[in-house]
Amino acid sequence: MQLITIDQNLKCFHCGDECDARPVQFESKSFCCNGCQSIYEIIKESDLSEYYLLEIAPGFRRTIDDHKFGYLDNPKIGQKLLDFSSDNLEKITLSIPDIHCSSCVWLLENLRRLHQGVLSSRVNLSERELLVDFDPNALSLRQLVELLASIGYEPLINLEDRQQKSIKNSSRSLILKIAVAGFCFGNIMLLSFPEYLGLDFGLDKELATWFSGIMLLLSLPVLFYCASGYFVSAIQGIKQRYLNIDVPIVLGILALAGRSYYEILLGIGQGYLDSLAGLLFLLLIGRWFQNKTYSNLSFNRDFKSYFPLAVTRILNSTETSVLLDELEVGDIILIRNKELIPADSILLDQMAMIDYSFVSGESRAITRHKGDHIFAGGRQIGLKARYEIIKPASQSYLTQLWNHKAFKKTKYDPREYLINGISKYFTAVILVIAIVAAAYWWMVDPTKSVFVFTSILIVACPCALAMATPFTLGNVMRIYGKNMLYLKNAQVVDRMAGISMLIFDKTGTLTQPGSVLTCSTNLSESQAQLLGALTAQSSHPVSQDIQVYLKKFTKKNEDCELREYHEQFGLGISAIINGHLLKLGSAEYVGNKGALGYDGPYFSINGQLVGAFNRSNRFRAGLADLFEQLSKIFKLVLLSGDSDIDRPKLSNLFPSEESLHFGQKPLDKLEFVQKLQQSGEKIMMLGDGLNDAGALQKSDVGIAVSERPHQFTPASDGILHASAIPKLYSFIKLARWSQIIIILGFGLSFSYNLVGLSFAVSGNLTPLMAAILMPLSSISVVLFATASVKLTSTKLKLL
Amino acid sequence: MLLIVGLILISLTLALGFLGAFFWAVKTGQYDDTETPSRRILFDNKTTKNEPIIKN
Repeated sequence: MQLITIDQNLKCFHCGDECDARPVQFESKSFCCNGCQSIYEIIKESDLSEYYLLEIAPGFRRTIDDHKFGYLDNPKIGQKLLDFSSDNLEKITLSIPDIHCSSCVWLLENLRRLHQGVLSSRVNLSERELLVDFDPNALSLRQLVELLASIGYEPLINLEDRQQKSIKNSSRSLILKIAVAGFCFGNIMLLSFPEYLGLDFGLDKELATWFSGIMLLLSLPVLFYCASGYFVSAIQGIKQRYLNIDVPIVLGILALAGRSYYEILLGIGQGYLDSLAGLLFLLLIGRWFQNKTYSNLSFNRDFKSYFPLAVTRILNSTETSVLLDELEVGDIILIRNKELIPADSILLDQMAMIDYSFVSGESRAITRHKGDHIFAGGRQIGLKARYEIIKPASQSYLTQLWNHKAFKKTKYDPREYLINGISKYFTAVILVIAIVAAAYWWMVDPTKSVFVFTSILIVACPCALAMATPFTLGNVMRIYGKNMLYLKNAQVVDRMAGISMLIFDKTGTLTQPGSVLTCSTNLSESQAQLLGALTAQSSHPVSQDIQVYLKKFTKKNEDCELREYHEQFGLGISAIINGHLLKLGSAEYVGNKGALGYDGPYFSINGQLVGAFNRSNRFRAGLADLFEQLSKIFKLVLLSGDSDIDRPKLSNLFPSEESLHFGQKPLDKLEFVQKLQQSGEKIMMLGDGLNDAGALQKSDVGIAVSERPHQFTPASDGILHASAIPKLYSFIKLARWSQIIIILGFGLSFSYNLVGLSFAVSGNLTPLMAAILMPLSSISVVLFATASVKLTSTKLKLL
Repeated sequence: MLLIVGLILISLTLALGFLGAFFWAVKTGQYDDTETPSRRILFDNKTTKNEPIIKN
């Protein structure tokens, strides 16, 4: 049995979060909140407590509100989400970002023990997906999703992400090509053995013909199936008038195949088919290694994925759930606490608090009044409110950003990648050597001319060259992944190495999400007790924040006598508690003119001002060191949508006042990046919200910073887990080193090429030599790339 | 000596069979998720009385 030591900071038995001063006690176990405790009860009652034995504290906090999944009752949405549907069986694949361990797998695969409507369930851990078969008569889709949410596994429902299947198929076809190439390579080599060993078939010419014939047949799938991708890419390159790395590869392949078929059909020899199959086998492995993708992360979200699938519409005082696309101008919608406002609209109720931090970067929730024009993308906080839509969702102020031309063109010209820059010269040089040598032999010994020409193309085929890049970048991406930077593809590393400037967003990127509450005075326990009793009466989000804040000061809840509770909307709350008159609210409400200079609510006891609360942003740890390192090499700029309240703190981090830009709207950010790019800067942008989406798209490397990378990120080239921000300097350093490693790898493969070329030019290349030289150079390049990336990242403390 | 050719052809057919099996395995998605089965095998197959009996 494993002993679980209980340290002073009590951890929740269910989710492992730290409990605050007053944990929920149940069956001698501690929980951080009632939500976790109730999940524990559900699991216990269904005889599933093995969940807690497989891993320690495997669960997640429950965040549920009753109406959240109401839209799943809408049959149109159901049809879009279901994989299969009939009268008594429905199948669905749900993406659940919180799946992470054996306990999750076990619990979710035993879902039918929680509800008998579930027929079977299967987890795909690497994709973080759950496949459920259920009986719609016993359990509706909405009930199923709510059941999952009730045990802490809330599915992420999104219609956009359903197109990822094609990625899966392309990686499958690559694996099949590798299998075919490997199969043919092995068998052709086996048949080439007599030649490797110098055995003479002597009189048995017939046997030699059989062997060559079988080899020829085996080489056909290699040439026409496995190599097809290289032919396509080379032709595309030539059409766009530049020589990519695939052009010399295709030249090599054609020379190998042409020469071998010629020799075999004329009965001269056995050709180089083993080298051909081996070449493609290695090349495809390299491609597979580089194509490591994070298929469970989404890098291409547009604005649609931020909005809910459906909203509640009020028509003739009945509430129905309608799809977002079906909303029309003039519709009245109901937005509840924490829901997004999906379209530009007008507030119909007296007042609403809206948090725009995700859209504009403003860190404070703002208050809007009846009749105000509300932009889409804000998050409702506190009470629900009704809105009248004035513009369709697809034409709102926010979504205009996506109509910008930055979103329409592909980001980068392949010509600018290191490997293609080199291959341009490489191909030219090889062709010149081949032609000159062929011309020389034409004069000396015309029979050898074609032989030498093809030999040069065969030997110079940049197999090792083509391996250096995928193996270096593939390894770099794996190391990034271990350190929680997930890149969209390997080309991003290439671009990261070339950047000259870093742009940061503030809210959510440099600061932690949510703000911390501070109090102007040290509260005594009795004061905290009274204030706690008052705020417990109000559902206003500020009251709830204060309530959480006060938990630190009170050991236990004492019963208070509360009379004459009043809540004045938009001003404050008051009550008489244990005979004391308490007021909490704006400065005027409390009876003071804001002398403390605090912006949060003030509070008074018996008419005497006691203190005020303030909200401030919490900056992430480790930023000072990071910025000191970065400022030595890069230009640093802050681009924030927020007001300049944090200017003093930020001017310590950034080199100069001029590099701080506040109050930037989403489009401003995009244009700012564009302007700098025109002046020749290569820009890496780090941001988190929708307001950064344009700038992330436009910059050379756009990295989305997220606390939960599997959940909510704007379109980007990479996703960085927030805790890994201090490693940013090492990440960029590694990217720069990777370029040096690639060039060294090229050098290594060139030296092999020189040896091979000297044989080829002098007309002495034998099939055996080619068969040895090619894999040897490839393997040494692969080993070199892997080892040097490992070494570099160890030095940079990334391993 | 033609016997060797016959043997080679037989071995090739056999190997092609394995290649076909691999194709089938990839196409039916058996390589899509390599992580979950490795954990699933460690779970105890405890049968419980609570488990509802489902009739199809």
